[in-house]
Amino acid sequence: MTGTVSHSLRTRLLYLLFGSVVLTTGIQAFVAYRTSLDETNEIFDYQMEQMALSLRPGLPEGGYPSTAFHDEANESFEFIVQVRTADGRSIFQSTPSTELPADAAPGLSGFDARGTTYKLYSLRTGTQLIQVAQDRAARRGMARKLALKTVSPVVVMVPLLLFLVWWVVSASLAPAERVRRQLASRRADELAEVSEEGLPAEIHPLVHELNLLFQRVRGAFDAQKNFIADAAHELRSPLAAIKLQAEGLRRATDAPARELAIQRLSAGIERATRMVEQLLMLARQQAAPRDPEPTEPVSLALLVQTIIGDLWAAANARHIDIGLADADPVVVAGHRDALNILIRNLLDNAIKYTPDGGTVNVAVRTSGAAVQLTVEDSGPGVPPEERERIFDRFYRGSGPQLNRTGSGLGLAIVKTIAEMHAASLTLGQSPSLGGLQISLQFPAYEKPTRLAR
Amino acid sequence: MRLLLVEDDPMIGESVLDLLRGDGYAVDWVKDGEVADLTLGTQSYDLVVLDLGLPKRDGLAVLGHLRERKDRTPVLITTARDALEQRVKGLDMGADDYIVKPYEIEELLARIRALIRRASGRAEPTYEYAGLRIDPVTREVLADGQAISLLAKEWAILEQLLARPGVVMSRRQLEDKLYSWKDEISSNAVEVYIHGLRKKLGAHMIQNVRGVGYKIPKAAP
Repeated sequence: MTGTVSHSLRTRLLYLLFGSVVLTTGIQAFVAYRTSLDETNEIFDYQMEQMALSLRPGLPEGGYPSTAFHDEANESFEFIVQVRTADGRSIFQSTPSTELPADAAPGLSGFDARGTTYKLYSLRTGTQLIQVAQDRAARRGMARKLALKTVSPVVVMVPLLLFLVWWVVSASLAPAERVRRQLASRRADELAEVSEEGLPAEIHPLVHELNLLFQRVRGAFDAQKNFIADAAHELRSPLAAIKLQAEGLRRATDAPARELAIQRLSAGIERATRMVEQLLMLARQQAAPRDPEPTEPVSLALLVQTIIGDLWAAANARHIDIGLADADPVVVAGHRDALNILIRNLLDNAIKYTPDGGTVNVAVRTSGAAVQLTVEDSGPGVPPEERERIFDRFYRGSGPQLNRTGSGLGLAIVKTIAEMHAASLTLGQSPSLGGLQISLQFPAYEKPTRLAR
Repeated sequence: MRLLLVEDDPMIGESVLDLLRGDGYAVDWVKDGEVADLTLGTQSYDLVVLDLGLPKRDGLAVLGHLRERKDRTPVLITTARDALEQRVKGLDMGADDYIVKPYEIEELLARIRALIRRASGRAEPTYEYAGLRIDPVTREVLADGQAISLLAKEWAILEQLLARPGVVMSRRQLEDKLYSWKDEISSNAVEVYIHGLRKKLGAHMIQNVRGVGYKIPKAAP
C-alpha cells in the first residue's frame, strides 16, 4: 500500500486485516512446510536404520545371486541395500548397477553415484557391513508431497477467513454508512436531526455533536428568516406611509391642507431615509472584515461631549435636560467611528423615550481597570421581561410611550458595536431618574490590539 | 358608514384616517390591540380596517375575539407582512379580505365598498328603485336620468339606509353610524339631512315610520 493512505475507515480496516491474514497464514504455512520436511527426513532416516538393523543377524557367506531379479527397468528402487563381508566382498546387492561405497563411515553419510546424491546408512556388525541408501531427490520429492498435504488446508482457509473479515468489517460499519447516506440525500436547507438509534459507541458522540450543530444552524436559519420577514415589514411600513401621504397631498384642496400634507410627506420620507440608513449601518457593522483594523485609543469622555453637543438642540426643543454627569479622562481601545455611532444611538434612544421636560444623564467612569459608560433617562424604562429583547432587530417596546416611527434598529446596532469591542451591556432601572439605565463596560485599555470579533 | 381603523403606525394611521374621512366615512382610530378589542366590544361598526402587528394584543387575537362574540362585522386586514401562511391564517380566522401594505388608497376604498356591499347582501353594485338609480362607487344619484348632487352627510345617511333596504333605522342608530367620536352632533342634525334627502329624491324614497325611524324601500326585483 504505497502512495496515499485511504481515508475510508472501511478500506483501511480491510487492507490491514487482509494483509494480516495473508501474512500470518503465509508464515504458518512456511513453518508447517519446513517442519513436515524435517520430520519426513527423520522418518526416512529411521526407516533406513531399521532396515539395516533388521539385516544384522547376517546373510550366508555364499551370498545370493543378485542377477536372479536383475531387471534394469526396475532399477529405480528407492532403497538400495548391500551387504559385505568383513573383508569387503559383496554378498548381497539389491541394485547391481549401483555400488555402495565400502569405505563409508558407520552411521549416516552421503555419496554421489549415477548423477544423483544418495543418503547412506552403514552398520558394521562383527562380520558384515550392512548398508542402506536412498536417492535424496526421491526422498525430497516424497517429503515435499507430504509437507504440501499438511499445508494445503491452511491455504484453503485463507479465502474463507478473508470473506469473514470483509463481512464483519462491513456489518460493523453499516451504521456509519447509513448516517452518510442520510446526510448525502439531504437538500441544502434540510436541517433535521439524524437518527442516533443503533449507532455504535464510537460514532454516537460524533453524530450527537452533528445533531447539536444542526440545531444551532437551524436556529440561525430561523433567525435569518425572521429577520427577513421583519425587514420586509419594517421597510414596507414607511413606504406605505409615504404612498398614503402622497395621496393625501394629491387630494388636498386648499392651501392649509396642502401645507399639512407636505409636512407629513416630508416626515414620512425622513423616516424612510432614517430606516434605510440604520439598516445600512447595521449591515456595515455586521459585515466588517474578519480581521479588522487595529484599534486606536479613543477618549470616551471627549467623544460623548461632542455627541451631546450635536444632540443638544434636538433635546432642548423638547425641554429635555441632557448632560454629562461624570467624565473621567479615560481611553478605551476601539474604533472611533463605530463608537461614535454606538454613543449616538444610545443617546438618540434615550432622548426619544424621555417625555418632554425630562432628563438624560451620561457618565464615563473608571471602575477598577474597566471603563464604564452609563446612559440613564427619566423615561418609562423597560420592564425586566423585555430587557433581553430590546437589542433584537426591529424590536420596539410595548410601554405606554409608544414610538412606532423609529427604525427599531438603533439598539441592535449598539449591541453589534459593543460586541465588536468586547464590551458588556447591562440594562437596569436608573436609581436617580427612574427610567432606563444602559451601562457599557469596556475592558481596560491595553496596547493597541486587534478588535475582537 | 362608520369604520374602525386599527393601526399602530402614526403616519399611516393619520393619512388613512384623513383619506377615509375625506371619502365620507365616519372613522374612529385606535392604536393598539387592547383598545381595539374594548372598542369592538362596545360599539358597532360597519367595517374594521385591522392591522396585524399591534402592540399589547396581536391583530389576529382581536379578530379572534370579535368572531368569538359572533360579531359579523366585515374585517379588512391591512399588513406589511405578506407571508402566505399569515394571509391564509387571517382569512381562516374570519377576516373578509386582506390587503398588503403598501397599497393604493383607491384599492383600499374599493375593497371597503365591496365588503360593505356584500355585508348588506347585495351583489350588484348599483341600487335602483322607481326611476331612481344610486351608484355607491361614483356617488352618483340619477332620478330619471337627471344627476342629483348630495351633501356628504346626506349621502352617508342614504348609504346607511341603502345597506339594508326595508329595514327601519332609528335616528340614534343613524347618528351612531354617521359620526365618529370626535364629531360634534347637533340634536336635530339627522332630521335636517333627512329633510334635505326627501326634497331631492322625493318623499317616497325615504319613508318615515313614526316614533321608530326611517327606511328605504326594497329595490325592485
